[in-house]
Amino acid sequence: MRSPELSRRAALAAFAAAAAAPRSLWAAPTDGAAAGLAAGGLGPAADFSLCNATLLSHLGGVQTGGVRVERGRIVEVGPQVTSGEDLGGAWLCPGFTDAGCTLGMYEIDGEPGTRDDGDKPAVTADARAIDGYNPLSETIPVARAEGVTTALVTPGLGRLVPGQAALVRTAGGTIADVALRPTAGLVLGFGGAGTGGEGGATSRIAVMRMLRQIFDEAPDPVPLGDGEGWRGRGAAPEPPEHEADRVLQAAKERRFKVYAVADRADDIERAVAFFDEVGLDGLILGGAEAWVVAPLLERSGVGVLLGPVNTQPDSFAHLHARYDNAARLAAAGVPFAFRTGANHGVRQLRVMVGLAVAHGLSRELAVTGLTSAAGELLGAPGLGRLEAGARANLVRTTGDPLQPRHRVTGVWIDGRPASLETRQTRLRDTWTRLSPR
Amino acid sequence: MSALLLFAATAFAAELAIVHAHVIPVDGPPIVDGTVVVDGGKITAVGAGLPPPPGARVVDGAGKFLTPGLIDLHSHMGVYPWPGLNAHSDGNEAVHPVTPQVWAGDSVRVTDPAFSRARAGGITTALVLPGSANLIGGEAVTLKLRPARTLDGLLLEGAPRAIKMACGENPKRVYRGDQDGPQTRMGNEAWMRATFQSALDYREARARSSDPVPVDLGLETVLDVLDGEVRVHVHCYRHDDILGVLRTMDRFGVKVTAFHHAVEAYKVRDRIAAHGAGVATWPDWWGFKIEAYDAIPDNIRLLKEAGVTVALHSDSADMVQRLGVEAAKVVGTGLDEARALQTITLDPARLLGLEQRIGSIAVGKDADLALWSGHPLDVTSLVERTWIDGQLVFDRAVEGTPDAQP
Repeated sequence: MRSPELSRRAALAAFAAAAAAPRSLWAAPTDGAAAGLAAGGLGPAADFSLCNATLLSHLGGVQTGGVRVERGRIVEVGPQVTSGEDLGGAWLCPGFTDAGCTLGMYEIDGEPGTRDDGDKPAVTADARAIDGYNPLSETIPVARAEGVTTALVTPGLGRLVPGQAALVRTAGGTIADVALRPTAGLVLGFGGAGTGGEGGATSRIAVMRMLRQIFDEAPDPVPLGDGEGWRGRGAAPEPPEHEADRVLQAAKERRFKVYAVADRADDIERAVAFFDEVGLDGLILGGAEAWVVAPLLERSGVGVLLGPVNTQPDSFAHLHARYDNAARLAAAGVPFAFRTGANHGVRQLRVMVGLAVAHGLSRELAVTGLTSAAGELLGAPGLGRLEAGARANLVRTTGDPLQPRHRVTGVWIDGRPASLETRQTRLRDTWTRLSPR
Repeated sequence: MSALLLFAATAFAAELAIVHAHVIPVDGPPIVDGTVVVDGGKITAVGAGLPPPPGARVVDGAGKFLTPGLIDLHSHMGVYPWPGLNAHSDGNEAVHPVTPQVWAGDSVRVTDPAFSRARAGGITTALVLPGSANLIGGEAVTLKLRPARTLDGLLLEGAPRAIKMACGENPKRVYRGDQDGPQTRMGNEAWMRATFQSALDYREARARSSDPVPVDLGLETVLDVLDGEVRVHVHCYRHDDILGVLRTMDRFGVKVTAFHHAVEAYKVRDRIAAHGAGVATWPDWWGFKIEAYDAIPDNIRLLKEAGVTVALHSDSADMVQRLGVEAAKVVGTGLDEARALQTITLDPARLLGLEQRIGSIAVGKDADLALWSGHPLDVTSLVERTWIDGQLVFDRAVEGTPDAQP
């Protein structure tokens, strides 16, 4: 068990038994009132077609047409699809991805007993966000009901090495079912985000010194063929004993993504230099002042998991935050996908992307940043695309999804209908009529 | 009619006319190709197709939307100024659960860059409140967001007094370690009753005692509250807390002007309406503490349908910059556009007691205006110009979006 990929298999195996039973329950829904959706909000798999929709592609183009879905995948898109459920002109677009948030990791911010997003020590490369993720958290349906079908979930930020992110889908009743990638890259804190935690750094100087030390002491990369395993002489070397070392080694081998939390321009610059120094496959997470160093990012081929869009110049940590950050990155050719950095606020994602359009980003790149860009940056192809072969994550809306006045009226995840019921719709329905006392 | 309006405007040597705009007065139907004439800081004419008076500075509003300046009924701009630092935390005098003697105006950092960002969002008036650590946090200050170097320059002169109160989690948490509390919700209400009673006792003592009773400025303020001279704004999330406050207020004959945050107000919207109180809240914030766990996006719609005056508030130097976007979310829950726009204009004006002066585009009102690049409920629209009292206080063509550095 030497690589994160193997760890992933082990993690999946551990959940396999638990996964078996709920899957059979989903296949045989019994509750008609809840639209046949069991715990986790995911309906049964079935092939289907939708037609007469206003299709909004991940590239931002709009046309009238339909979508045909088989075995969880889109098999056909376009005006030629004219059979199936008639959407009467309703909009249909790929599911949204929040490219960096803490969805499902706690129920109530202010109640520590409900929080599973953190740890005490400053350096925990072996901490996994998936171990704090509750697939049945009430926060998840609220995000899903606003069209978010996939999320890169990180451990809570604010420590030097918070741990490993997870890529999840926002419906399903068990960890095994929702985890697209239980371990999906290592989060590192730069600048102010790298301070905090027990034994942690207290300044930028300390952050950089400690990060160099951590990677200097981590096991060296093992020369591998292209995903073919050991090709050297003799027996393959033994994998490192500890997960933290395996993760750091995999990062050095560029088989495990690194997400550098950085908002201030100089911290982004340091992160890019560190990627180069150590040989890491890195992305910037946050990037409030990324526009300042856009040429560097473009030159280095480093993408940004960008947001929140509404980061204000309200602190010395990002005095140069601007609303037109995304527009400027786009102009410089820097790839980015949008994130909220939130949990209860993941629902804001589509409207926040609209805000970037207000401040100069093209509609097309905005939609791409909301849908397919994350999959490309994270190396998860087929996510958030409206094309044949893509995962059938679909969102039906009453109009342009960037507009807050328009509502999400349908969500499919991997070709299965997903519930739009939330704790909040249940409360609304309960309290629409008031009892006399 | 239009000739008469034109005559009136000419006679007063109009200084500004915005023409050809899609005018949304919010207290009446939209006016296509509308003209708004401003003179002496007041709106002097509003109508369709009116020609600008001779000599007026003319602003071409073709293709643009004109709304009243927006109003935020819950702001901490100035009292928690940017950049955010411990040393800039001037919103909670958390030395005692009852501090009616403090006034938010004394904490306002006049040059807080958040004011300029709010102007860029079309905000012209804000109620700046103390925080919610205390059951009685102190008096608020109503500001017009004019660029100014003195507090006097920001004050909305003649605004009714307003006081900030709080209940629920915050006061009981802040004073949990204190022997006298409050530590519980019942403690919160007991403290409020005791405070009102002590003010009445103080008044009686001063009236009856032959020995002079020293003036207590805090209790004088509480007496003003009891006498109905101060508008009462209560931070209150849970519906049972709202009812608890109403019990206390009814006992002492105090009218609540508005419950703030009030994410569970929908559960007692009939009781709130019966009391005549308003509500100031967000469209969709939730879950940050357990008393915000039952928040629902339909809160504002249900309250409006029950006849409650609702201000869509920000409580945030960030959200205040896009109240149009927030109001559009409420349209998404089924509230009509006209009433949604009132939640960021006329409704908060009513709750400030200033509905005769601000909150809509009407002749005689202050010329507080926002000119938008598109419909104010469209997320891609931006405010291009903002006027306060007829003075241009923001021009995107000149400033762009203001930076944090003055």
